Amino acid sequence: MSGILLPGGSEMASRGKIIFAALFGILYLVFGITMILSSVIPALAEQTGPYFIPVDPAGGFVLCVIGAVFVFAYRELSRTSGDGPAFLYIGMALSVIFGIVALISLGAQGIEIMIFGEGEAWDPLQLAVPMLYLAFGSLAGLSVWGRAFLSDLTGA
Amino acid sequence: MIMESMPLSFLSPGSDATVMEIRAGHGLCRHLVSMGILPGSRLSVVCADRGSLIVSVAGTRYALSKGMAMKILVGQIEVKAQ
Amino acid sequence: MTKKIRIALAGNPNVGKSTIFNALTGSRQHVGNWPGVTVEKKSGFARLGEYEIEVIDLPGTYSLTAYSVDEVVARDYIIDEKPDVVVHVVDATNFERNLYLTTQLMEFGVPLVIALNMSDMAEKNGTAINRVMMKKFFEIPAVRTVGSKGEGLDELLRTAINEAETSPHHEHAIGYGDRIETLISELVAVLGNDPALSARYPPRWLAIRLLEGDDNAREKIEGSPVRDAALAVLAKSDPEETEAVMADRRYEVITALLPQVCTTCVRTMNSSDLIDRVITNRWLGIPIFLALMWGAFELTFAAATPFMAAIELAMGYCAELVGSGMEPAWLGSFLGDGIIGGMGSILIFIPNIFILLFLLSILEDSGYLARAAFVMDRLMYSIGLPGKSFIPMLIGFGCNVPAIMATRTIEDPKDRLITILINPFMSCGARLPVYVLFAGAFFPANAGTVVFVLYVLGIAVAIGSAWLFRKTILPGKPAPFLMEMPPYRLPTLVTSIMHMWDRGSMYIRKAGGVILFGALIVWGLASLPYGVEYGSAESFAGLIGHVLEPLVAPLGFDWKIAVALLFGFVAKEVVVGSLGVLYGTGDDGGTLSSALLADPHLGPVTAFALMAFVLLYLPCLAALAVIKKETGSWKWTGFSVVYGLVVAYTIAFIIAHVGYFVTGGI
Repeated sequence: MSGILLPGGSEMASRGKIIFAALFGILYLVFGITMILSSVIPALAEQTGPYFIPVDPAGGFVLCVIGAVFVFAYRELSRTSGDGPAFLYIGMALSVIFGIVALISLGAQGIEIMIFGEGEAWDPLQLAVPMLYLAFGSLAGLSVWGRAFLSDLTGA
Repeated sequence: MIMESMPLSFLSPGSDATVMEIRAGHGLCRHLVSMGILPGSRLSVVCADRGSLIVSVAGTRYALSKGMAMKILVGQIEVKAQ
Repeated sequence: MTKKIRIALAGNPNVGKSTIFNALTGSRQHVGNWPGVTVEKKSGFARLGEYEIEVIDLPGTYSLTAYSVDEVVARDYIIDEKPDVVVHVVDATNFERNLYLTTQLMEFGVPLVIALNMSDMAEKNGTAINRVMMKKFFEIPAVRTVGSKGEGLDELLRTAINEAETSPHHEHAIGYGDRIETLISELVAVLGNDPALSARYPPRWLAIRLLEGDDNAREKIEGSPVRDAALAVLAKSDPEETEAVMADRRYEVITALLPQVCTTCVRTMNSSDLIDRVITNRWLGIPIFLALMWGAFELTFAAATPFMAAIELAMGYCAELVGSGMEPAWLGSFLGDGIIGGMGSILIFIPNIFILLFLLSILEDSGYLARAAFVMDRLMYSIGLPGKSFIPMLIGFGCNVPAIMATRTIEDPKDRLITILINPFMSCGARLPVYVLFAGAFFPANAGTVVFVLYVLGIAVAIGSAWLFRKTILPGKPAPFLMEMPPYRLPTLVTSIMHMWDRGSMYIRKAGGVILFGALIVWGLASLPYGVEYGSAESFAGLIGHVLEPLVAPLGFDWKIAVALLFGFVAKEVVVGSLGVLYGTGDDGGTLSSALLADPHLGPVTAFALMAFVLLYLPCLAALAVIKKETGSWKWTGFSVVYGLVVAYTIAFIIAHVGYFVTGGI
């Protein structure tokens, strides 16, 4: 392939990326599957509720998709094929995007309860869902590794 | 050296090729020509999953379905072994 | 004393032409149609010093042969209307590809200026386009612009005006080699014998087009006395071969000149390509797409809710203010129930429609939607639709009106027709109030799921219909997928908002008038004959309902629902308003819910059948108007009405009776 511009790539960074991909791949998949299963198995829902894992099959599906992207990233990174970093960056980007979706969605619910809810109290802890808190990890990842890759896209 | 021609849909990502022939109707041919896909032009394959492709021609990316890619015959440009 | 100049903007699709157009004309623009075709015509005005500049945005085309309606429109405009100067907007990051069109524009003999747009991206990539060399080789001035930031636009206008006023008409010519040039000269001589023809069309241009076998050009010489002589010359060559040679020659010129003009036009894999390797991956492509769609819908519903609540409050407040205690009572009712109630129907889910359209615009402007269409193409092909149909179907979830207009990008007429016909089954924002009302009342614990099922039902019917049409009335295979993938870029807020506004305002403009009018008719029929109780069985509305009742009785609907459905023909939003009138509760969701629940004729099964019926029964009036406009045929418009009614009735019937059987109740 002619001239692939790939940012980053010292040994340390690559090891870090592989671990990150594997870790977040597993996390997202586990949370995702749990969320889906707990919507059909009430007993499971009771177990996981206290751990800030809501019952949400659609959200669970989304988390599984992100997890899959990270798993692909892990696979490609360990094979050192050119695509590895791409999967990683997309995984992180999706993670952040959905983190924002979760923030806005839950936040809007909160606003509605507070303004129109006639005195109902809204518990900010409602915001603590995996789709949101896992995104912080990706945010960190992107700021460390993603700068060069993303700067290609800004402007115009 | 250019090898014998085969449909574009058989190329793998990262390959470069030269267009040899386009088997399509008049209007479609003309359309492809204006996009830069005509006999003699050079393209490279960006993505190739299950027959559908994204190719790069003169700096532009186009996505084609398998059906379209089958109509474009190319000769793969052989890479000299280092 | 202002001077007037007319500029036409031409260029490939995706080069930022519209951005430049919007930046030049701002709010002084007008969107209409090119006469006789469904291609959009954008024109506007700009000002520079003492010049009043009319700007026409021609459709984006890869070339000016007559492959598509867009191309014919663009080139006919340049030939017939003879603008003072043509500005060729070029994507500096894709310079080489754009040059093909440049070579063709040069043959029109019209003053030409090149706008090197997206120069900031090009410079970032390291591309350096030498404007001085361009002027030397092409004899066309080039201006560096960045449309999205408004850079270079003044200079562009000044250069354009300068060209229009000073340049002698060069016909920059590409030599096509001896054999063809001989033929061209012969043809030019022949055409010269018809002065009217020569005055209208530049002879060399016309000669070249005829040699290429251009049908549109053939038509142009039909009535001319030189026709036979011209045909005699043409018979000496084979159009396909000639065309191929000419295309080759153009590319030769481009290839030769390119290194002189652009020293670093590089081709490498860049970030965009790497992203594509992930996004179009055969396993991840569709799941990623589904996830993003979920995100879009989730955001739409979540973000819209506070707005909707606010609007509802405001409407209620206004209605009370106006309606109570006003003399005469009928005026109060007219303003309160009729106008404000009617407006309420329109305004209440504008947030919903606009937010979804905004999110779709972001996805489109970032370049993702093109990939989504590509990823979905295989699936779409298997149901008989082209991948491009995909984007109009998505827009249909917001509103069917802009969705049907978006089918213009589909070239194949059959593909386009099928896409238009199935679009109304995509559940638009207007049907939501009906779902919210009935699902909320009759399925309180599972309302969300019920609504989701309805959306899926709509999609399923759309897919089934496409398959059915392909098997019966519109056989054939969809056109193979071929679409440019613009580079990924971070969309600017402003451009996305403008796109959202373009589409959403169609809803407000077309539908707003129609819905308000329809709501007033409902009010009228419910209030007359004079003195009758508003919305009772004795009003005209009630009488109509009783007439229709036997038709819908097998579905379990009574006369009130019949009337509401009838009025829903105007716009589906009106269904809720009508029910409010007929049950005597106004639009207030709370009490209407209870009234519905209290009605002994209505139960969960009937409610579900009703929602399915509303989902499917026919496109609303505004959508029908657009269908007629885009298909140009009463036959197909009528077909969508009849087909919709038949499908809705059948499915509602099945749901109702299976439901009664299974649950034993209504």
